[in-house]
Amino acid sequence: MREEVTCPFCDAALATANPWRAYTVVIGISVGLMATACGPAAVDNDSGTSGSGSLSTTGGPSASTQASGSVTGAGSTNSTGSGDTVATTEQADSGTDAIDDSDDQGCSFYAGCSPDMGSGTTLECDIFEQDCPDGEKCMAWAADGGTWNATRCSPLDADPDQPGEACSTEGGGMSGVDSCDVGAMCWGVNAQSNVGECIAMCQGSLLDATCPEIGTVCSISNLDALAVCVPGCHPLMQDCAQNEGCIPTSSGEFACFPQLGTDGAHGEACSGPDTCDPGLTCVDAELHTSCQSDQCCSTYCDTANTDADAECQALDAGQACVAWYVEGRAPSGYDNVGVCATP
Amino acid sequence: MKLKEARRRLQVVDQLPTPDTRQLSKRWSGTAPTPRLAVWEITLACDQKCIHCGSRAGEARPGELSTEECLDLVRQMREIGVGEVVLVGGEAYLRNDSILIIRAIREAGMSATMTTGGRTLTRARADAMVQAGISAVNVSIDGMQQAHDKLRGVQGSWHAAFAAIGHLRAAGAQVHCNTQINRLTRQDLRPLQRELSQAGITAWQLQITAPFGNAGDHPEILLQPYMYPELFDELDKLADEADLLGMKLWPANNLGYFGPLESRLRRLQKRGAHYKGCGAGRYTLGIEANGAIKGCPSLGGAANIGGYIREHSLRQIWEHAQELKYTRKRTKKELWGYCADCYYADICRGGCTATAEPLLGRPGNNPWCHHRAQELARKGLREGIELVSKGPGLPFDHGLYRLITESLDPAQREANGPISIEEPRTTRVVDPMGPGRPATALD
Repeated sequence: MREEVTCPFCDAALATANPWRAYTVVIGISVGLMATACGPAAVDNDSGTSGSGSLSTTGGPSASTQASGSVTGAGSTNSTGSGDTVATTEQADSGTDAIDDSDDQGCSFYAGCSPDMGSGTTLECDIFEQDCPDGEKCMAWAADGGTWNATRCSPLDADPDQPGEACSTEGGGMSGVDSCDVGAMCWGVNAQSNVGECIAMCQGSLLDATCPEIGTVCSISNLDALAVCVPGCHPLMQDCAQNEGCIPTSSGEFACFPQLGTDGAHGEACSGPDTCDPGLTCVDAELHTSCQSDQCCSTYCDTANTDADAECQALDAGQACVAWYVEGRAPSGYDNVGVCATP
Repeated sequence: MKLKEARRRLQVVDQLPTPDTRQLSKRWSGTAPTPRLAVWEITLACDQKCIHCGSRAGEARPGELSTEECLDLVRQMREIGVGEVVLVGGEAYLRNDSILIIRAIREAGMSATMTTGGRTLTRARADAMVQAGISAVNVSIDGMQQAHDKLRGVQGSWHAAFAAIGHLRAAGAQVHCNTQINRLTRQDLRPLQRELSQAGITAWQLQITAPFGNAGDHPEILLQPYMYPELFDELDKLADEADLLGMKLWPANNLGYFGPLESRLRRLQKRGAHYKGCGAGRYTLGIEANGAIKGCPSLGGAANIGGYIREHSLRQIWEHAQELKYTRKRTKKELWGYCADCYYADICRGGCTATAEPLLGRPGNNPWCHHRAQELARKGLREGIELVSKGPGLPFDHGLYRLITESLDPAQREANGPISIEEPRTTRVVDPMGPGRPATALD
């Protein structure tokens, strides 16, 4: 679904704006990423107007992704109501800056490097290139002991396990040291036994990621440290295994991931789509009328269902069933995917 | 306030909140974007005499904010979503209440950092900053000793800066460095890199000297745009060496754009590893010591200051001031010259506003660009700049330069002279939006 452009100067294959990409799943922590374009085709129009019915949503408190159009608060302001005015004021502009710079680091001459630059939590090798020395492989790991946030070269097992085979890890599921072969990592690791199953990591490049096995999709997340091929799914069918949810990925497709939460009912606070109940996802508070947090869970709906709006309204009086993708840009079979949201 | 008094007022706490960061956390949708990075000049007082100082620092500004006003401003910054506050000057540590401000920033849940020349950053000051909760300190070192001391206008400044690094590291602070690239320092970069690494520096910001403030009065130190291909060859070597040293390079937003090194240099900084346009007024907020609020920390004056914190709330200024909206509203229509037709125009939009505006009078055309220099070279052309007039001598002011396109070939250049000359354009005060027009004396 990606339009390819070759950047003549960056020497990279570029993905143009993908208008139906929506959410990013964030594994273990809500830090989402997706490939963005380098060339001019990446930029939407300057008006900031939205496509019909598509959503601006977040994948978690520190991540954000979007469909190409976004719900805007036209003409609205967040005035403090203090009565003070600025001499050269006008109504705050509504609209959306089209450049996707979520997760970027701000920069200024005077600001210098960001505080965590010296901490070592960076990508020391390339998951896609697998550019480690012989006998090692490039792996995501949790540099600060939390969740995956960096890559490094890890020792390769003498008799490595292949995707689909059982595997084991050393030092926990996020240590980056496991028994899987180059280009694979141990996934779904049991915290007690340290045993999981090898899955393939994405191939290609950050901007042109692919998965070799049919039926799997590439999910890139966690500061680009994690790029794994996971089973695709359909959010209206919720056709994932038990304890897994069908969650939007960095590419705009849906894939099965472990559900982190079990209490994410419609309208309840969430920190990412994997913290909501199966059949629900995490959206910005502005898409609810009753959300008491920055983001709340909202229910997927079928836009082809004539009762969908009523069903959404039954959950939240201000909501309707809003198309997930921009019209005409949904992947085949996903045209009817919607989510309950304020229109 | 004396440092000892400030430290006495610093309440001892067991644990400060985990600080937020400058990282952009939410896509801008609706009213105004969220400022994530605030760069705050808390005083214009300085202990150096830098010939390239953008704010022309030295004496404190008239009417600098009081301690209480500063602490209230910290509260307001957090309210509108700021994640990191960078204290600068002048020399921020010369205000001893800076440690109270650092603590307030941390207690409010934000990262507190400082950028400093470090000339009189003593061990006592370093200890106090760490005690207050400083998240990181960026020490500015511009070249090797001779170049640095000349730029700083103070003999011994280079050694003092390295001493400050030592004090800060001994006190337990995270320390990074930043360096301005100009005609005095460009040959020093690799030896400096080794010096920095030996001093324990693992993150290094690089930026070119931009022609505002004092720097605008010194065309002899400014890089010529035609020097860019050679400069980026040097940056490539620095990047190789950085890999070996375990050092991370951090290009500032005026070092680019879209050349072969773009993704390598911005890999740690930008999703997609490429520049995405000026963030001033979008995600970055600037504050002057007298409470002037602006979008770009490096620009001042009527076109950039949106209001004063003593007169309006920070939220009101951020959301409503026209001056802060420029980068939110601008489109390709604001570009001119080479940048207007550039392949990357949509996303780059002329690069760093604080570099382009002081050069040619208004943003939208920026010859300090690797891609541009390379493309012109392929056509046998190069660009140079020439001072037209100096600025009036105010903080963050600027003079005007003209842009000269000429043959890359020295013989043809000598024989034929300039191919074209782009004169400075009208300011954004005169023509707030659009590409402007060639400035006249009346403008």
